[in-house]
Amino acid sequence: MSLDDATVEVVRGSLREVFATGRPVAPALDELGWAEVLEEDPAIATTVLFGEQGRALASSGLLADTMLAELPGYAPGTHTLLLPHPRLGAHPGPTGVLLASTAEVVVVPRATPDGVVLATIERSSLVTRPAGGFDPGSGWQLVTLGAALQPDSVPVGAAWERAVATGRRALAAEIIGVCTAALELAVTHTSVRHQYGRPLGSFQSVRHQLAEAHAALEAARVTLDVAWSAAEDVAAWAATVAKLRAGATQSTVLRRTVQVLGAMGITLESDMHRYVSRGAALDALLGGHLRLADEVGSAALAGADLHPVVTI
Amino acid sequence: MSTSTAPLGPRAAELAVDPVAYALALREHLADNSADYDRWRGHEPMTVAERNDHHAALLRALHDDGGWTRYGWPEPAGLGGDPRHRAALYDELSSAGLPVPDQCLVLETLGNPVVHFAPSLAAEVMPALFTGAQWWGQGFSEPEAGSDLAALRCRARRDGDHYVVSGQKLWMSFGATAHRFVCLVRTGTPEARHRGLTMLMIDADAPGVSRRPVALASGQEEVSEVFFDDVRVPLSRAIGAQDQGWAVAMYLLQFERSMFAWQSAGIALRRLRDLRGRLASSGTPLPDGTTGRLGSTYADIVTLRSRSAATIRRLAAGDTVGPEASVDKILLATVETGLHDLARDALGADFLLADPQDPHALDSTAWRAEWWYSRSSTILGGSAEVQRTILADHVLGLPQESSR
Ligand SMILES: Cc1cc2nc3c(=O)[nH]c(=O)nc-3n(C[C@H](O)[C@H](O)[C@H](O)COP(=O)(O)OP(=O)(O)OC[C@H]3O[C@@H](n4cnc5c(N)ncnc54)[C@H](O)[C@@H]3O)c2cc1C
Repeated sequence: MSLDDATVEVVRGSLREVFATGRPVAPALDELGWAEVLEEDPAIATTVLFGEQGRALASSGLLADTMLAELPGYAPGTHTLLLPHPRLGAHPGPTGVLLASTAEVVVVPRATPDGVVLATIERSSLVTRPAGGFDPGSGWQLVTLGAALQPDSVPVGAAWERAVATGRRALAAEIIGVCTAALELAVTHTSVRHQYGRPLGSFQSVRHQLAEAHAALEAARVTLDVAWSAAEDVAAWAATVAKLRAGATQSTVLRRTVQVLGAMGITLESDMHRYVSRGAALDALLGGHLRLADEVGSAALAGADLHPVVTI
Repeated sequence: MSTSTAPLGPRAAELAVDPVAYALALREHLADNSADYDRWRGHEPMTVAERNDHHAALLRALHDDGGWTRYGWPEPAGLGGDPRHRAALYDELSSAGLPVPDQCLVLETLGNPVVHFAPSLAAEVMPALFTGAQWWGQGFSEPEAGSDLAALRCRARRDGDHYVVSGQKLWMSFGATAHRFVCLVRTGTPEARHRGLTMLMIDADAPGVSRRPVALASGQEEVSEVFFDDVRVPLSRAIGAQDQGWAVAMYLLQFERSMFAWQSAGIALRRLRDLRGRLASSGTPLPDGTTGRLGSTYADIVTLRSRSAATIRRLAAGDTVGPEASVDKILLATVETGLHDLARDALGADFLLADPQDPHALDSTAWRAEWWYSRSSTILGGSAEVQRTILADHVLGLPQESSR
């Protein structure tokens, strides 16, 4: 039921290669026998997959595929999922985001008074425009929907909550991957570059900033682990907290890693800017950390159980 | 509830090997006897000495009605089990709306090295901790040895089968009321730094010991100065070998950083629930940003619980926890400062102006004292800066500060 450390390392290595070559991810995963790995240990498999995607700054439709797996009846490859526009958190509305996917049929969630319903639409019939913006490499397309619900809309009930929770865990893993790579770059840079006759990384302020980044990353990792192992009744809540945590972590980590690279950190020459913008883009999907903190806080004030989530 | 030979439940042996069963049984006990524990719910006594006694009485109650305080500690003093039992005790108390007895903070720090390095001493001195009859103080810091602990100067010289201790400790929590002190003292030369230190247990009532409480800014006398004037300590009171005190201190830090964090996370969640209740029913608009800060403070607590639980599980499995425990400490400080700053800002004028004599303002008065105490989370047991340096050196492997 769970993958041993050695196997995980092999899987991680294969994924790193796949992402490094830049070839389409879905067929490469099939070649790796991904379905089996996923079945064996969804927590580790998902975390490693999205972690590697983040580290490589790759863009794909994997997130939509992973969420669709929670919504019965749709086949990744043929279908992709329209994600709620970042402005809407995880609440489906009249605008949305398509990830870098070649699927021809788009599953469109809509919020109704009775919960979320899904409709399928031919991709070619949607009005889309490339997202560009802060993260030009995201591969996102922005979509504005017409007002009318599609006739074939099906209610999905709690499955939508599960899909969002799965998406949030995957995004948290991807953010962690982005931040891990950014921190490695910052550690390497500050260990090598000298000023005042000594490595930058020997200055206490630089050291402490990177130590804070490390602590924030560890915090995100362990909160994600816990979200994966949370009991069913708190799984969605724990996934929200894990996504909130990862989003806050990218803010903490990337602010520091960009600073210690000096001018280089804000140029197109260094990859650092790509980590910064990808971190921000991933944070924004399915609820940015500030928005989620507000949502959790509002729920708390309205009397929600401040669940301990973790037991010993 | 007051016999000294505490009756154990019929399932003691089973509970000792199963922390989950222990947690459930304890939860049931606390629920079934809820009214008996009511006196520990609500407001705490005003002075530290009264609070110490109040919490000691809670230990006594837990001990006498099921031996709950003895699980997780090795026999004969304890009932066996591992750190997860203790973690479960602290957590169940917090979930039941009860305080974690303050004495347990020190017990977690000092009990572990005594058990590990001085098992026969442990058998002698630990039972009184489990009943709340006694508690200890930790004597590490000195006026000139704060962050730089290895600069400490309190001396112990050998005289036959005794050490003779002279010098001063500072900032000792429970120093004014503790029955014994566990002190790091210098047996080698000052130049030997951390290689010339020994850990000793010293009785508070030994001739030559004197103490002076020091009040925090809240007015609470949380810490003390302790003076040693040729205090004679039997060699059998050494914890670990002579000059090996640093290793004992490092061993202890594993528990201090993780178990203290876990206890604090449980307490913080209880206090956040209290604060939420008060804010939700306040009827006045909350200051800007309060809602989001409430959400992120809660998330910080979940993260701290996640991290410290993982560390405690490693300890229970026999792993050694090294410099990475500084992450636990940083996350703890995040929770402590975040929660108390939130309370201060959200309670606003009440926090600032509540009259300590006003029986209706006890909650605000308590938050105020706790706010001051929370400032120690970035100072005590290795400051925020010291933790960052440890991570930079030993986890990230950055160039040393002194390197050129
Ligand atoms: C409430 C409370 C309870 C305590 N209980 C106990 C106890 O029970 N037993 C005990 O032995 N001690 C106890 N202490 C003492 C505590 O461990 C010390 O306060 C702590 O080790 C820091 O020492 P210091 O206060 O002398 O600060 P200093 O070492 O003087 O530090 C002052 C400031 O300088 C910074 N600093 C110091 N060195 C460096 C450096 N190399 N790089 C960067 N910054 C640096 C620190 O981070 C800090 O911000 C307690 C303290 C408090 C506040």
